[in-house]
Amino acid sequence: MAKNRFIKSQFVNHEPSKQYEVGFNKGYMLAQVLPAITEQIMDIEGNNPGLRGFKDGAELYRLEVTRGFLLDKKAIDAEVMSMNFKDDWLKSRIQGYELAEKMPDMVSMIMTAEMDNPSRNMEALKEGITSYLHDSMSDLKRAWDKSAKDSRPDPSHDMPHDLDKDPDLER
Amino acid sequence: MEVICIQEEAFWKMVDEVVAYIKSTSGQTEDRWVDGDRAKQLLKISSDTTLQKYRDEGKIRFTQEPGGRVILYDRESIEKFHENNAKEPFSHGKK
Repeated sequence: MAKNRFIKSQFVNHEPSKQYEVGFNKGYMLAQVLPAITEQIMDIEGNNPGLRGFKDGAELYRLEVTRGFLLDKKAIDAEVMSMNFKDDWLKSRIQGYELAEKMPDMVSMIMTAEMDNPSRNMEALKEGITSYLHDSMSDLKRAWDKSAKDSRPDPSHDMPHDLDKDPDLER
Repeated sequence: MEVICIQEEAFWKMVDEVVAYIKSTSGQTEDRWVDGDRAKQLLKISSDTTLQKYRDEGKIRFTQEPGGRVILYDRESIEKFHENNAKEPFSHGKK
């Protein structure tokens, strides 16, 4: 009996809360075009399904962007450029990435700058720089591993060809 | 910073207006995330078991509300699923 109930619960059509679904779609969409406002809405306290959905949808989009940014920065860049709306947070992050790429001397200055109340854009800029540094380190490590592998001498060449003629051994 | 208090209903109505405006400017008519019933319609299946199978096999993308009560499906992944399963017609005239 209990087993049957378990099986039934696995396949039962969970009627999703329409409010949650509607809120989710709103949050997902608004996060794409108005991230700053979305963030403020996300601070609203409450537990109604619509608000929960909104927060989850916005959070999912944010995660997608972050992952996408790390995986393919250029694709995201093009997507943002094609959008009519301004995404300051993402733009600042991309600027940080490009800045670190083109003007490495500026990196330490920005990263060590102390501010009482760093703006959201400044934080995004720093995140972009960090992301570039992370990518560079990964590239460097790959290149290092490859060169170490290529320059590793063939073990067969290490063997002396004729031990009898080795001057050290003759002495 | 000044704080403006408005009724919750009015606030969400305003959000609705913004979302509707965004939809109209981006040409997007349908929601990206759909519930199980709509997902089944789009997939042209009627069984919850099949839907769950697609989910478990990673054939369609979905998101689950923390707590696991509501599951929403990514419409784009369903469209991609259809594309991946589309068969090209045989080319009869080709030698």
